[in-house]
Amino acid sequence: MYEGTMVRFTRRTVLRTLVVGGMSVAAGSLLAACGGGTPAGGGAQPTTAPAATPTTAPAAGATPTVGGASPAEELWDVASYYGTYDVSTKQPGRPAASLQGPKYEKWTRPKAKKPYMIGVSFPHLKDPYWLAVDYGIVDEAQILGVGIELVAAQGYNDLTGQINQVEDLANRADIEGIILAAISYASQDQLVTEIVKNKKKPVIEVINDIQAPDIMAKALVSFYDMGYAAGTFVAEDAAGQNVTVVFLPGPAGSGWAPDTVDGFKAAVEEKVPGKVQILDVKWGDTGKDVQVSLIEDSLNAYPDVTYLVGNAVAIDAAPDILANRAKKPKLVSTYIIPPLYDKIAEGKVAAAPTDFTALQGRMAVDMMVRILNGEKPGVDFPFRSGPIIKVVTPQNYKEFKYEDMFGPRDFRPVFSVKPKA
Amino acid sequence: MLREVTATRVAAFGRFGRLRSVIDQLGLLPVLLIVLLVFFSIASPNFFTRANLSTILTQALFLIIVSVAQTLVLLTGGFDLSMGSSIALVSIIVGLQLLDHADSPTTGLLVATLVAIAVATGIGALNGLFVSLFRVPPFIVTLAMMTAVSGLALHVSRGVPIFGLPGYFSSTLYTGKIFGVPVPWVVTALVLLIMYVVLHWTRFGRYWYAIGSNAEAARLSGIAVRFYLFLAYTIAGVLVGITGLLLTARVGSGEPTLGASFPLESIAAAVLGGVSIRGGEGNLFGAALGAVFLVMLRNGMNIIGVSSYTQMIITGGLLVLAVIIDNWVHRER
Repeated sequence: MYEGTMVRFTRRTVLRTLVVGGMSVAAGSLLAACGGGTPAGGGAQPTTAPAATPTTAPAAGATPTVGGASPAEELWDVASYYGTYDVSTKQPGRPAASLQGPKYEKWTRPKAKKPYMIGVSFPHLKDPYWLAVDYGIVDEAQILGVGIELVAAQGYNDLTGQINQVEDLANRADIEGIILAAISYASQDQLVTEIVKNKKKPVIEVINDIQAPDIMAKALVSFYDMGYAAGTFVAEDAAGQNVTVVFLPGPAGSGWAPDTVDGFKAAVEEKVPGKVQILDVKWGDTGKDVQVSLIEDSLNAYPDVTYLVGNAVAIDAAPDILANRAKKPKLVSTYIIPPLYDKIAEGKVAAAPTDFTALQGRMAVDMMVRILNGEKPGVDFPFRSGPIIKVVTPQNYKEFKYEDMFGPRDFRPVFSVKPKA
Repeated sequence: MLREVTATRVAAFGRFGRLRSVIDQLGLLPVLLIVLLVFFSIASPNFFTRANLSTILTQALFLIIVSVAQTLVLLTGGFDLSMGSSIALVSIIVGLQLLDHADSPTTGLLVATLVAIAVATGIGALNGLFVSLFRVPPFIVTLAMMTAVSGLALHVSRGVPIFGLPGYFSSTLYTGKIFGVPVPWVVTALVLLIMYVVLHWTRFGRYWYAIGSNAEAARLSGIAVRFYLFLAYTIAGVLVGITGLLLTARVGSGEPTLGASFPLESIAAAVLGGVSIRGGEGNLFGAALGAVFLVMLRNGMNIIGVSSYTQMIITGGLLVLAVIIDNWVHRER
């Protein structure tokens, strides 16, 4: 009678399933600390790769607040690239060599000639990072009077889901252009070409880099540069001393975490050759429980380490773990999330670079509106541009507007904005 | 006489009979645990230290409780995939409640505890209701529940961690001590003790084993199968609530994706510990040992600096090895 509810597995078949059929799922789950897969818990980040020229700002000036600014006003500092996008000169994460830049300039806001309707696709909307992008896009759309229809896939492992969602958006007659935060660097080229060439709708990229030869513009910051900024901070903070680092980048299989390691290594080798020794790199999913365990293991393995550097979830968790330990390494994050900002303000965390996440969302909307207005990317406005990375520290945190990084504290996810009639 | 019996038993195992006999009697897991302990202790001086062993145990506690909860359900022939999302929802709601009671520790702790247990128990009860009353397969019920509860946790939290929790929360439930023993250790010990009593000294426990072994036979014997199935999922929910509460205290914030890896980890821990997914076989301590094994393996590899990619390969390889040894020990004699 109840056999229907009983699962016909044995201990052996389950083990076989875990090992053979579900190796990727089971092993990844069993060793969540090993990382890979979908970032979670405030850790989702772009799929970027090394940039040739780090765009860390030399000065730590604050960016101006956006809300209420007039359209003609010069807004925040950006690093821009102009010219023609030739995909044959493109390497992952780096701006295409065919582009000219970086040009450091002020961002300006366009006026929408019509109340356009813009589709937006995210890898997911499950953490503060993408919530900040959502805020930037939504608020900018409201300022410009354009409409937004946002869809979010299930995470970085949901590539097919995102492709389906973008196709659905492109098939809607009212959607005039698409802002894409691509899950994959190289697997959505055809999708972009199909929409741009066949459906005659512009597609631009936000946050995550993409190869796509027909992508029309990019509003993003490289996570290589974020790592570079963190490395520069450690190099300067060490003040010529030999220091040791345990690095907790985030998920091993992700497109963004390895870039932070590469950027960090490049910075310390360039600034203080041989002075910064990376004792270990501990990969792991950005679930907070996973990162807590990784930190504990790392501190037991390397009790004398002088810096813990890594993803924001780990560095956010670290102060509580260090509270009961005699030796306290300095904490440096490779990016920033809201709770980390508060810990920097309290002096518990030494530094975290910010990519002004919300501003990147604003820039994407501005770029799309310019294209729909008839302006030419790479000529009338940059083909690729992003806010200049700055490092937030306990000394300068007050200079940064919380909303530019994360959006308002009480912001809730918004999926749809109606265009002004 | 005893020697003769032993000799007969060993002979029954054929080639490598003594080794197979030892593993058969002790179980594979204690042997593997000792092997791991010795290996990592030799490989790194930082492994077999008081601090690291304490870390391993602390890290394992949460998985132990969830594995015990999973064992209850496994014994009845089902399993529960929604435990991770239950933990996440508990974490978020506990976080919100704590923010509302930031200045009153006693009230805050009481409310947080009650809410944690109520939320997870409710989810467990719903699972139990669908499985027992509507006879929906546990896989489908708990998969659907996992999805729905995960969405609810994200909705309530806006996808943002609930941070800035009052300090008394973690200092009581995570770093706090009772007679010098950390609170999570005490709670886990109590959970194991109480659940052992329930499983082995009460009707509930015996009925769960009976239902898992043969539900129809249990029903014909007069056991209210539906009720006891419902009860298994509900009590598992209580344990998940306790885990969610303790884990939130450990990470110091309400996290909408907390515990995502627990459902599969807990099933693996229980199965490694000798609990049969077909139901009716296994015990709590095997599941607890399975949890310790998984955590110790991960910790040891971290301590000796095994790369993350290699860790995944080794874990997969050890699971294969476990299957092979299991087949070898239990093959037809």
